[in-house]
Amino acid sequence: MEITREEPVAAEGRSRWAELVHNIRRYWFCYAMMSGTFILLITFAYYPAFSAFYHSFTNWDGFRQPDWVGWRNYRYIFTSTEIFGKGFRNMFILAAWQVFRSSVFPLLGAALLYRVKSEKTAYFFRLLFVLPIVVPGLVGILVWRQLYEPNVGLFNEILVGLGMQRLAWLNSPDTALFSLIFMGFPWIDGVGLLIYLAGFLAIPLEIIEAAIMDGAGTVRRFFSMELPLVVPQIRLIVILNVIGSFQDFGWQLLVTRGGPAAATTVPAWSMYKAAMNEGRYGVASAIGVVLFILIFTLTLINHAAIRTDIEYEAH
Amino acid sequence: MSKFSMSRRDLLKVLGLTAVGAMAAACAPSATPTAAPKGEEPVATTEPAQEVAETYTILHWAQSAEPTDPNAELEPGEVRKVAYDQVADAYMADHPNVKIEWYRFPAGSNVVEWLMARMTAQDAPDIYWANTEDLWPHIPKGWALAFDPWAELPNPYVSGNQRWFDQFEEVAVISQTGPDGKLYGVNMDGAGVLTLYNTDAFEEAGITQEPRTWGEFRDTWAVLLEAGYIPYGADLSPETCCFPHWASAHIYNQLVWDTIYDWDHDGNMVITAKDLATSYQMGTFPDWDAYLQFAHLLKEMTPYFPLGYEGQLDYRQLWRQGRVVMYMEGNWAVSQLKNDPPPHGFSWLAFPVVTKDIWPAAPEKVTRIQGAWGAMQYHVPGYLAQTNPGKVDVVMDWLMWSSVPEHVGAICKETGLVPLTKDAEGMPELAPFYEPYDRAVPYQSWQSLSSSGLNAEYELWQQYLPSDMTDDAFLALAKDKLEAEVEKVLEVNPEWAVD
Amino acid sequence: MSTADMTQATSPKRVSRPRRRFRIPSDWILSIILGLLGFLTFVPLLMLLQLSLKSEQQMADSMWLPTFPFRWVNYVKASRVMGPYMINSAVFVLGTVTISIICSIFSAFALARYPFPGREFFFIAILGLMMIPGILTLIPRFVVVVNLNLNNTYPGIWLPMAAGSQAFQIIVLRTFFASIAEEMFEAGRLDGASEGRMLRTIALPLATPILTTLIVLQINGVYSEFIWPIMVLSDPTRYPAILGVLRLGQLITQRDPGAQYAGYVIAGLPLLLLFALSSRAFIRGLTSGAIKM
Repeated sequence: MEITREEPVAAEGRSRWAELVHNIRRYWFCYAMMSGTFILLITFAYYPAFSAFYHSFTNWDGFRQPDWVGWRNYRYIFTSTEIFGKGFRNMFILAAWQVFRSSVFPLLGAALLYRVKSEKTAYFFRLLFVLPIVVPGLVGILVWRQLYEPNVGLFNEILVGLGMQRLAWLNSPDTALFSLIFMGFPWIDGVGLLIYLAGFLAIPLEIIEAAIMDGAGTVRRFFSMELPLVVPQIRLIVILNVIGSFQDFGWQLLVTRGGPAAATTVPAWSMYKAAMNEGRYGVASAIGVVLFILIFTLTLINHAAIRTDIEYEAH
Repeated sequence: MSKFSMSRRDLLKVLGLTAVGAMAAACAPSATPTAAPKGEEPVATTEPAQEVAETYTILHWAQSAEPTDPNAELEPGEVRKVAYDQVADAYMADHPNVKIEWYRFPAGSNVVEWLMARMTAQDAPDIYWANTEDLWPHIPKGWALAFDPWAELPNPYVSGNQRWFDQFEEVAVISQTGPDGKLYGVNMDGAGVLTLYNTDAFEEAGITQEPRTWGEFRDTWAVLLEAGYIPYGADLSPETCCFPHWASAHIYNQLVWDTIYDWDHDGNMVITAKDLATSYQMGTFPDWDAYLQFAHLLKEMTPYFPLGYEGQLDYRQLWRQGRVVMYMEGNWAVSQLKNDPPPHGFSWLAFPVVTKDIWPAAPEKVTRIQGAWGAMQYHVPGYLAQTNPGKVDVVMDWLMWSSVPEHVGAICKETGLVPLTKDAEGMPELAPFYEPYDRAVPYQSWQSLSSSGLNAEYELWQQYLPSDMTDDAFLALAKDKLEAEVEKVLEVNPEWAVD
Repeated sequence: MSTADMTQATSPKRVSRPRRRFRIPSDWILSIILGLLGFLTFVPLLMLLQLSLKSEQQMADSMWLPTFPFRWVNYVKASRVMGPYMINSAVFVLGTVTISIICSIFSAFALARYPFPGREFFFIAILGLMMIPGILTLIPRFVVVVNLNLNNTYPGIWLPMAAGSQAFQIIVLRTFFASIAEEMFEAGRLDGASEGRMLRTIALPLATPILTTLIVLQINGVYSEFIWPIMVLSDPTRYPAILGVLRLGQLITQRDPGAQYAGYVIAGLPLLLLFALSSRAFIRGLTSGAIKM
């Protein structure tokens, strides 16, 4: 059911303005219901955001009164090889990978799972793939770090066992970013898998049966029917993952510190470093503002570009 | 999906509110509770805190001098550290209105980032540890209280003492001097840097003589590599203590031995961040020829490093496992290893002596350059003078008690650090470190400029050492990076700019 | 999609073929492939488990293959160390989730069902929040917390983290509440029920699966969050479990790396428990199709 937006109807004798006041009075409890959220958001989200935006034009160090410096911080960002050159490049690589990773692998997993006939087996595998969620992110990072350790780690032991050369994984500028990308193999994220599966399960059975009757094979069914119908889910998951990847710096904070030799640095990390390590809060805010603009633009493009004309009406 | 299409009216509302919000944020007080303005200092009382009826709880981050956490799970046979507890108990017995509690620093946190958060929130421990190089850049923000009023007072717990800071070796006092000449902490012990090595591995590889000069070390490493070991444990991560900047402190310093005090502009025998910034602008810092030679020496070592040295490694663990043979370590390790021995024999060496064939101006002595500073470098948050001046007196009194030579000696016997308090005796095995030394390290690395400088220099090594960069490329890269770091420092301290 | 359609979607009737034994070969092949993928996904977890049962010597001998005997005492040590931190985590999680979910339910319901003035505007404003990178607001948020004297306190953790989860929860809940057929509320109004009563008796019971999912996701997020607590809490004894994990290296000696790994496992146990208890509802919530754009 669509939420319709009521146009204020000019009843007799009432002006537009009076109608507005009337509606506000009538729905007063809505504002009351939203008050909790808004107190929280204004104090801890909007005000800090505006403060950050303002301070991006200053040289605030968190302590002394800031001086206005205009665009200097932004100029610095865009001329710094570390932040702009390597940082943004790494970020876009990781984001592109996220698009791929969050759409392809869980989707394939869901497609496979969807075809399992036995209820019990299907439930078992669903559980299996969702279970790794219980590992807190930090623990996952620490465990993978140990797997990647160049001298005693599991992956190098395997490589040596296969007669190959050991790699430096996270410890070499050449392989560090790749190691970040490879993490989480085979990249079947439980939450994504379930959401895609939900999309598949929502397809009315009559259509499936009709297609099978028509002789459409598994693969054909996937591409022409199932895939188009989960596009809304794909959109949400991809955009959430990309936005998340722009802001993620857990690996950098705990393990790589952006290195070695700035091989894994991302703007989010530069932001944290500028604020907490170097005390240059103005620069940190400027990076944050740039990231915000990027994310905002991406979201707009996402809405505009992908049109789902193929939306099958259930009724 | 058009569930939320905006009408023009809504868009204008959003923009309008954004503008209002931005203006509100701009007008709002943006500074956190203000730092102690420079130049203002509380007057020290001459009486110790015994007369005061108020009770004080002092939260003290003693760093590695702290007694073992009562919650720690120890292996059978491991000894708990108790010395500082005993010192504290004696103090509390005499001063019933004071309670000393140990602050346990959250491992895994970065000290600089921690300092930033705690100073912003003004909830740091009452006494905290920091290497002075990390502190200097922050002194203008009022993070550390000046000790001068108390430094002049006699220490009531040491008989015959006329002036508290006379108790400490000159190098310890110098290390606490900030860019404005004031004293920003007390430094009771220090660390020497030694090279730990696996004696079993030496035996197995057929090495009979301890190497002394750079050339001898190089030959030793080659033999060890042949024998299948990883000769030298090191990594280039700022998170692991401390190979690159100790190497700089002990090897680069040898190369610039005679000219290093040219960088000391204010003549206070401390090469502060301000000195470096000034010298850089005047073109005297660093000595690029010496720096290039230092880079070459580091490069010579790289074949003997473990795989993945560009990033972070736990080479101490590899040493315990007998795979790495030697690494640079602070002398606190001697006490740790006594408590927790590895499965092989071990001993230690001084760091390599650079000989004249490598660098004609090398002094060629085994110089007892005091290395990194120790655990008992204590500072007091600047804001405490505003928020709780009475407590400051108590804190200083407690520090005076801590610095009694017997107390420092007892603590150092446990930690294996080198007392910088006169007449205090540490671990007997470390006797060579107690002999008078030629000079303390006046310059460590770019860390003396700022902590961001430290990261930048580490990054320089990360880029240079595994690559086949030419000398010119290296120098160009180093100059670019150093230039950027000096600019960052000048941004925060514009008064240090040289016209 | 109406509610009726949704309940049908969660328990689909398969194509009606007679239920024979396992249909070979398709289910077998699928199981093998999925099994392999599942195993690969699990490798890090398995490694963690077997690392947590080793002594230092066993680790030096063979790090990546299970060694016997298993050193169960690692877990005893680690749980003694981790205990207090787990309690801290529980307090953080309870407070944050309670505040956040209550506020989200109210706001989402208001946004979904009542055409009040400014509704679209508020919703866009909330949506916009999701695009603001968390770290942009990290420092100013910290300054706000300090100015409100909330540093090192429980509300200093609860309130900002609750604020951070509002956007996602409100968006999802709004979609859900909006999809409830108006007829159900009409019936309620005819009976004379107040709006609040209808929320409680009609909307909330229907929302249970999606709420479960949101709660589980939020618990997961709050429990794993370490950047914010590390800034706000100056007293390490108040640290949540996730930071207790970082302190393991301090509190358990270098001679016992296995016990540190045991600590990691213990840190993960509450989430495992949570998941075990809620998995049906959680999965149902995710597969209900309410989460999409």
